[in-house]
Amino acid sequence: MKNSNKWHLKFLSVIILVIAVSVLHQGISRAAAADPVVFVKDAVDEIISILQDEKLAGPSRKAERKSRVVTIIEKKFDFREMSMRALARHWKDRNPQEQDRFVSLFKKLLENTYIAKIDTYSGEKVVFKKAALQGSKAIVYSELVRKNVETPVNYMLKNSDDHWMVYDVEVEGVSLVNNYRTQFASILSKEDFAGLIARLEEKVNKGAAE
Amino acid sequence: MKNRDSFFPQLCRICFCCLAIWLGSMSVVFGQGVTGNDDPAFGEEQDIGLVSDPLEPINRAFYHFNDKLYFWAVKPVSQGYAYLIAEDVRMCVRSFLKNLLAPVRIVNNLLQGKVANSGVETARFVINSTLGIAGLADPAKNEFGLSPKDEDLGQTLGVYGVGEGIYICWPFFGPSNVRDTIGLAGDFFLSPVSYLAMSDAGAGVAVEAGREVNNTSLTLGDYEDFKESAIDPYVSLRDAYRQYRQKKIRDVAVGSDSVYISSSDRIEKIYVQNMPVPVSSELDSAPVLVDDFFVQVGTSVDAEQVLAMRQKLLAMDTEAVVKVYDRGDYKFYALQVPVGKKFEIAKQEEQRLCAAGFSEARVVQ
Repeated sequence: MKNSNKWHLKFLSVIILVIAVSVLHQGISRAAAADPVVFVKDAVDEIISILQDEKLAGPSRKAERKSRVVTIIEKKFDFREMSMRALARHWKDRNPQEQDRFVSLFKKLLENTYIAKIDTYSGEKVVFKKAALQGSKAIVYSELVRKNVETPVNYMLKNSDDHWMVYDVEVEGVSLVNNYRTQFASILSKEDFAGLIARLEEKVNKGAAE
Repeated sequence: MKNRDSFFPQLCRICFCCLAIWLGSMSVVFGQGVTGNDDPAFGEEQDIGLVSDPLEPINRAFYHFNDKLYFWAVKPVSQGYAYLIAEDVRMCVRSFLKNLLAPVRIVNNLLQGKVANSGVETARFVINSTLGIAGLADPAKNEFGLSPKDEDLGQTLGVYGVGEGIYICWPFFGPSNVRDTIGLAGDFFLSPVSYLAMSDAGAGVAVEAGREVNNTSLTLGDYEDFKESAIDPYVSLRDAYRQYRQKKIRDVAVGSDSVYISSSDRIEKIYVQNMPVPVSSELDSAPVLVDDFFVQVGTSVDAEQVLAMRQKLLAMDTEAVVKVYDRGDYKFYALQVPVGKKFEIAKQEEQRLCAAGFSEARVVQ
């Protein structure tokens, strides 16, 4: 009980914050592209300052915040790569139209469920640790400090065309993409691809309506 | 009478260990039958396979039970409690209850051979119980820099290679599996709350319920967010639990509590064969993958010493790489044997090297 009961709550709230936080950052400087820690840290620092900015606070600015966030997240997160990894072996069985449809739905799902939760930020701190680099990939290790509890958060990045893109976030050892992959695999073992798309659409529309 | 009192829990403990080992060996066999959903196209991901869930209909029922329990009971009570009690006080209560469970962590660190970590947990317990006023505060971490080393019997069994067995979603307790359930039963005897529950069952339940409410009051909204993000919350929770526990069991592998390599250290070069391969911002590809496991054989600021150790390994037909870390005013060298992506294989290699006289061998990532 002590170890199996509370962790998922922590995991979730943290993953939401993390994505929210990394997403708000505007623009990617060329200089930052070489160092993934700087790439992620710059973003997080700026986001925290935005979240603490009283001028941007309040529910009336929510729509504006979200639209800003969506433009930025597209530069930071590689949704196509995430979709490929989340669908895994089912990806290559799909034709390009189906793939594009899936990418856009998956992106919307993440946007709705995570970015909309930016308002839950309440003074959490992010401490950056090391980065591991190899080939065109990098892992940035960080810790989110929330109510005296540290939660490890690792960003998986890939370098293409001399700039970094995040393709997975791992919180408390739980990979976001792997978690969705398991859900997609479970659904696809019972339903066909159209069924999965329908469920995604339902989820996305419900999220957008709220 | 006194003898009998201390004998009984001990007997129970021994019985649980036997049961754990027996069930564990069964679950290893059981678990293997259902894993293996490999996707070769995305081989760089550590694929942990599919979870074995033959009880899915029952588990789903209990998941829904817990879900309703949360929304109808735990959440409203926690909200009321959070309204009445200041957050600082609730954090102290959480810290106090966590401190009570120090015996679980001390013993399990020892069982896993993590003697230093066990010492850290013991020191934390002593400091927090005294300076921290019975565990209400955490001066061990804040003043002495001693971070908790969270271990439990489920993890210990996992470290010993016991498979997780089937997934179980318990009513009230939430997600678990055969191994962790046995672990919880074993840890029960190390928890002071259990002894309270043995003498007064009502008090034991009250403490557990109180802890649940107190902890929930500090994480209100998390579960709602979790449900919101999932397409199938049951599967999402099952998978997250599994990934979380696997990572916990592997915790030696992330190298976070390494004595030598601190979090701010960056690999400067990797020596493979006798040629240095720079691993820098130029991103020259070194032939070793970043997310592979390594068995670290030793570290030193003396390159010669590390290279000599490497020669010894070569004599045993074991290829090792030397990673160079730059700390500004000095450099140090880590000798590591690449062992690929399979943690089990990494563990075997660690044990083999330990047996061959490299007593510092440990899995890192």
